[in-house]
Amino acid sequence: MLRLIGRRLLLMLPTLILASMLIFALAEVLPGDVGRSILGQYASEADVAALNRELGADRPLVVRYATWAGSFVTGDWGESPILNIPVRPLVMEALGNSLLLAGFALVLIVPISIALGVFSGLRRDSWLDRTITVSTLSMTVIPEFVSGVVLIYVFAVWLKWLPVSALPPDGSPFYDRLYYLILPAIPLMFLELGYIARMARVGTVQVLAMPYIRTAVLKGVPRSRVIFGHVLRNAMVPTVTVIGSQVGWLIGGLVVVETLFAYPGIGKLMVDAAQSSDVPLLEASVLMVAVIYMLANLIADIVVALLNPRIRKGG
Amino acid sequence: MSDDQFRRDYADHLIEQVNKGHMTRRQLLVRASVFGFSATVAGQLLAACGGTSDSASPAASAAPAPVMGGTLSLIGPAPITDPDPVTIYDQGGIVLVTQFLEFLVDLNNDNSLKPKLAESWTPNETLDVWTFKLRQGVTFNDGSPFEAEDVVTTVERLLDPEGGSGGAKSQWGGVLDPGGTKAIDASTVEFSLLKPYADFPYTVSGGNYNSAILPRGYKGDIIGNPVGTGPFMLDAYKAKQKATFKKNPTYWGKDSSGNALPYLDGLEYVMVEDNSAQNLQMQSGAVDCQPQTIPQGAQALFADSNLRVDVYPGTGIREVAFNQTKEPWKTGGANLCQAVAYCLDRPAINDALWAGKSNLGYDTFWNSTAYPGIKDMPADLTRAQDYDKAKQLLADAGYPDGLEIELTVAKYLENPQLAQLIQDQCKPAGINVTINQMSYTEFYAGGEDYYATTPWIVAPMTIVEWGSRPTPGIYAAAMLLPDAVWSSSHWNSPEFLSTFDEYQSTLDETQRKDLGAKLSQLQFDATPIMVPYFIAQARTQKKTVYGIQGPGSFYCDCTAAFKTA
Amino acid sequence: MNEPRSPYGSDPDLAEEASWVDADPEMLELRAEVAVDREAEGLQADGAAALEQRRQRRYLIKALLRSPTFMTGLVIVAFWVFMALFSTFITQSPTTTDPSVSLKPPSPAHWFGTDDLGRDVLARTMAGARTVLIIAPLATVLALLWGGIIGLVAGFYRGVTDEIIMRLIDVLLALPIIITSILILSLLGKGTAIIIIAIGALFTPVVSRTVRAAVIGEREREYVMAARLRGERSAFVMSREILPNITQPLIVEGTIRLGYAVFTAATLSFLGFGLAPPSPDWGLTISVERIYLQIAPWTVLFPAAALASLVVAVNLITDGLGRTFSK
Repeated sequence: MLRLIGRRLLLMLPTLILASMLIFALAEVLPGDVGRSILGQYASEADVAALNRELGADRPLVVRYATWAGSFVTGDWGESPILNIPVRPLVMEALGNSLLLAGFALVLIVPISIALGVFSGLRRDSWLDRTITVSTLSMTVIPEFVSGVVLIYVFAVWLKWLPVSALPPDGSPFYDRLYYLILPAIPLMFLELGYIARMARVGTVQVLAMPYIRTAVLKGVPRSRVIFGHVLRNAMVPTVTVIGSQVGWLIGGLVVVETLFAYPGIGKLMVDAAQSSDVPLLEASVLMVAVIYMLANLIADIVVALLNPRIRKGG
Repeated sequence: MSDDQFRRDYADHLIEQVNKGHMTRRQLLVRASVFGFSATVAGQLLAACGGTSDSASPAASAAPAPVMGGTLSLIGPAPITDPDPVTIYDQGGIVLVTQFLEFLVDLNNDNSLKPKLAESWTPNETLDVWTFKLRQGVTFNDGSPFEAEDVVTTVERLLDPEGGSGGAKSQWGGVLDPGGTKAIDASTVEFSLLKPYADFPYTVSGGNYNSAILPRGYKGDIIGNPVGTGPFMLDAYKAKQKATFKKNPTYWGKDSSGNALPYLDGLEYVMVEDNSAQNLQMQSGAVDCQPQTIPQGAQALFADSNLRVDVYPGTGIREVAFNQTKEPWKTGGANLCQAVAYCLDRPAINDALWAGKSNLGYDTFWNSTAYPGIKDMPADLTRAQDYDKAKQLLADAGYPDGLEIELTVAKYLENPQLAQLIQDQCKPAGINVTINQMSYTEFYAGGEDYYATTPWIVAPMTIVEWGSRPTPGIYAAAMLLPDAVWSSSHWNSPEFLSTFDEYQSTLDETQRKDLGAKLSQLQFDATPIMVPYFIAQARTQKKTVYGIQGPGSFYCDCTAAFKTA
Repeated sequence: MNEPRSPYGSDPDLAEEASWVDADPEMLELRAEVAVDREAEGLQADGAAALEQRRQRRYLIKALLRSPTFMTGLVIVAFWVFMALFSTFITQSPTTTDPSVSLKPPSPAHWFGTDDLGRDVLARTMAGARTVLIIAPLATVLALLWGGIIGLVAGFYRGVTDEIIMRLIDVLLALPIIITSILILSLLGKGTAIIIIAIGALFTPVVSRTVRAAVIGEREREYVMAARLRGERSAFVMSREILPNITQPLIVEGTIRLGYAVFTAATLSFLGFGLAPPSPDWGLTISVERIYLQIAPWTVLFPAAALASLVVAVNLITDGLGRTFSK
């Protein structure tokens, strides 16, 4: 087990290195350059070239990568040439914001999803099962920009039950932050409900097919003990895994929600960096998202292993 | 002729124009302000005019008495970059820095000029030397005195050949060179121009948004050292999130009753990129004012009973340029350009995109509804949709069976929608438009030689958005003259250039009107660009907010702003 | 744009310990159905005899036609295919502008109302199916092709080849999708063909994973051993022996990807990539008209509902296939 975890952590390193090189190379082909992004479309060619020279943006790709990588691994993530502020605090704060939002949404929706999924798995092929499956599926395909605007309009503008901003005033206590995150979390919850419920259903169906479950039932073990003792635990296997991968996706994929709710998350930070050729910021944010993605998957795999004794013993 | 005599002659000239009915009293005020007459003197001139009066000044709105104190929250996009006043070019950056920085001259809502850091200004007879008298007793918010040297260093910094400001250089190109600005004494600055230029005062106003006055010791890092003369001081700045300002206790301004300005204790600028998100925040009452309201999609704001939307004619445009150096415009020439222009149903375009609120444009910059305050406006030229004429012109241009053209547009503002309307309206004439849409970044991106590769300058036909410009002349200089760097049409008309130079070298109203008419006609006949409308500017605020000034778009002057309740 | 991973981890050791095939979660759903019904009826699927295969195929098709989930999905998809092909003959023009009737609510003249340029929303909604139905299937085929080849190679050869390939795949999967798509599309340019290639490329890593898992499951089987003992070349073994036996999971994977592809195409349009106006593409329309959501919701809600119906329908087909394949 520990060997596996160690191996996975070790493998993260070359993956990140490769990813950072890939981003650097691809950022080359993005339209625009950093000098032009800073000075705007009315600046003269000479001014932009001078600025690019000053920023070192005209050096060869390999040199730039080596310079950046050298500082990055020592903890110096550099400064954003566009915003003139250090990259690390900016990225870490945005990352924290996104984690909070994603985490909050998941905490709210995971119990409901699992319940629905297990329930429909227990009643497989019934009209209830089909209804739950189809409706959760439909909610997943509602684009966040549609659900987001409708929600803001209904709850913040018309009913005025919830605030329209995603950030509370400065100095508010922590639970205020959560209150302000309720509205932005809802489109995410729609998105996740379908997937998690589905996975819980799959897990439930699989487990119910296991011979030892039938044995337990035949032997007269109470149904509730069967369900809570065995079915649930094993149904969690695919569910936990999908939650793990969803956390990773959510962190980087929240651009639309962040834009609509003006929430300073890492998704929007990344996209802005890509569009203004802000390479230090782009690299740092992409790598952090990749790290979170891999860590989330790893944690999910660990939990799965803990749930499944066969794996635990074998490792 | 001595300067005093020159000024008296000009004053008489203005009065005569009003009495002859060639100028309205309102226009006299604007022209006088450009020339540098103080408001008092302008008032005296008005009084000297005989005859019936039209409304010489806009009726004072029934605003309540100012309330001291409170914080006003504004909402708008974040500055794209670190907002260095020398190089910013976006709304977020400009709104931000203009809260604590000021210009020599201010722009009123109708684009007339108002003294700010300069008390008065006069040209010489040949209009190539302008002398500005600076306001006394003004200090920067760090205590240092505001003097002529600060103005000189600001201008020289903007004109610096290594670095400097693209925006400022475009307005001063061919007009003012490095070294042309001198401090005569601590409170007088003299600008020696390269050629006569009647519109010069506009180029040291808010209309030249990089020309805000910075202290002579400014070395960059505006956020770290937000030193300016303005009514507010930058208190805190969180990139891409929020900026807070507090009142400048040593601000020089006073209102008409002698009370110290500003009324407000502070400001908050909340940064939200997305327009719908901004609108929703206004509707929920979370913020007080949205300096720039984009009418498309803001219909709910107009209908909201807690909000007041100020709409006034703006001078921003969407330039639909025909690149004269590329086919088919190269061989098709003016006939082809006009053919396309006659396909447009401008009222329909205005209805669809602006709910009818914008002013119709007819492809020339000399448009009296867009520039109501400018005197030397010739009669408006217009054209209506006329497919017969369009087809005739097509045939004259050598395309009797129609043709295919490509229109390059950025996915930005309402430009794609305008492109689709143009596409649809050109069909009946046999002109098939293909729309080449790209992202904003790509549209403004360029290669090694920027101005030879970037789509907005180089594509055969483009739609380029322009923010406001205070006079038709400044527009023309930016994009119609043969050497204009930002010309997407690459129009090369020596006649236009020579007429333009004449136009800028005289203040005589009749001459300017005639020359303006000629310029307008030249532009209209050649139609190097189409201007379907001059956009409506809108600013939304809560009904309890008063006193915000500025001709929309980038300007949000909160000096005299206050909140009741 | 979601890419759920294997529930049993990307780590092959872990997967094999668990003795579950390393596969996409939806795959597990189907295998669960298989497991249950096999258990219940004691059926053993026999993939070797060709005659038996043909009989099975006919039986499958009949079973599919009887499945309500499958049929509902099929009918909806068929409706959109019909609209993609023929809507312009039935409805008003989707591109003719008429500013005098812009943003009007549904009425007898315009059943779905009009958009900001006065165009008929019904016509645009129906015509919008065309771009999606061209892009999504072709992108899926590309993803199956590329992912299939990579997965076959990695799964068959194992060892170092497999490790290297899978690490590269991991890198691609670790990058946020939105960044990858921006970068790919900025690299490739504009147009329908480019979007197809881009989405195909985006899905290739996930498909390759699934294919690899299926191949790993198959390669220990007797018929593969027999072929290798006979001395057949690897390519032959891969294409002639293994490939036909993984068509079933491949088909199912394809339909799953199809659903994602529909959604992804719409999202990319929303982000401003690829399609040009005046295309009535749903994603593009929603992204443009969303600023009118408050005052003219019909301009957004109808294309959104159309998109949802298509994605749900494709998923119903997948569902139905799964339930049927297990019988």
